[in-house]
Amino acid sequence: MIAMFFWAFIIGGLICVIGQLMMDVGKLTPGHTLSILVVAGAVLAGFDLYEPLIDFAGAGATIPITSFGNSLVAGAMQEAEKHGVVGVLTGMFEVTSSGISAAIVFGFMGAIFFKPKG
Amino acid sequence: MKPENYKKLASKYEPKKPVLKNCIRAFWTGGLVCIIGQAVSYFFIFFFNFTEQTVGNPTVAFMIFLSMLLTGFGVYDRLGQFAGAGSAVPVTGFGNAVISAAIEHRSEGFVLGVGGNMFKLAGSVILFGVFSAFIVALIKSVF
Amino acid sequence: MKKWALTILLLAGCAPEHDGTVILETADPDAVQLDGKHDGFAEKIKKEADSIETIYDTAVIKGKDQLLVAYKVRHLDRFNMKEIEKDLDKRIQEMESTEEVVVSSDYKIFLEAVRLKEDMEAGHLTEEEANKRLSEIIKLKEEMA
Repeated sequence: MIAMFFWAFIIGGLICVIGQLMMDVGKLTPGHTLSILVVAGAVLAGFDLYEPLIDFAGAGATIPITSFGNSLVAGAMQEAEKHGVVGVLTGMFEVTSSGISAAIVFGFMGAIFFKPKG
Repeated sequence: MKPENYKKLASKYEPKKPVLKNCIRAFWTGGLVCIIGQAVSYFFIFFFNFTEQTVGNPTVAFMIFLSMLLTGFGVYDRLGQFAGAGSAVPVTGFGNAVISAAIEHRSEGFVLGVGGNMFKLAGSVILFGVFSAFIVALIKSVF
Repeated sequence: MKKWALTILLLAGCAPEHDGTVILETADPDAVQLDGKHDGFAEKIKKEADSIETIYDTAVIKGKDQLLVAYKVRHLDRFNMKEIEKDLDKRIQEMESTEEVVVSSDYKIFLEAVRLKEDMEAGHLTEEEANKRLSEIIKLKEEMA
């Protein structure tokens, strides 16, 4: 368990460093950086490399935005196994839904309860 | 986060930030967010009926809830200035992008303001995530 | 500067307080057999699982018609989790066993297996109830993300 925290820190930190390098050295905007990271997560999932990383680093792999791409693919594949190619489209948000629904719900709640800052 | 154009313009006049220092900051702040995420997921495993397999969803939802509080109290933006990618890359950064856009545009009303602008910043992440996942999964399921 | 440091400290303070020794260290719980027989079959399975190099802690519960093997994998071998699971599953299937075999490396399953064993030993459960709890654990395992 201690090892899990340690590797979550290392792997999670490294993914953020990759993002930082893309912004500082690659001169990308945060929007571009995050989009590329999400695509990278989806591609890694395509090669079955992201699941082992989650086994190894836990939240270090599930918290960075790359996992969004991974779980989109995972949901699509899960459904594709059951219903064939059509499942690719219908299963997409099977696994990922909580991130987006939480962002929508809490975003709306935030807009109700908080005042915009300056 | 401010609109991209402004950022580009500002970066021209801003003194260059040291890359190494930024990376170290991104490393430990991003790592710390992940440690908090790990603690949250162990919490859900211990006290609720979630397995390592299923704990991802409640963990992400809880992290976004935290980022709502931090965004609402104006802490997250200041955190972002220090941490750079360390606060943008974790899912809390995604939450922050949605929530801060929602709060910012509230004065334009809930439908046109909040509803219309909520995904202004985070929309591209969803778009490219979904589209690339579609392509990847399509290729995978055909072959 | 100071304010956010405080916030992070507060957040980190929310870490779970628990009887988490099961997860923190090697628990090595005795195998539990719930089928009324005393042939030490569960114990044998535990030995077999323990003999795999990459596995360092196992909990075995043999119910009436289900067999649960929960295990922990050495951290640096967690990249190969899938292969280890396949290997273990194959080995146990080969040991005859007519039951439905379920192997899992999930912390939650391990934790619940140990909790079940402890409740058994404390005498809180009849064999019937324990079997029911076992199938509940297995149902939990089969749940997908």
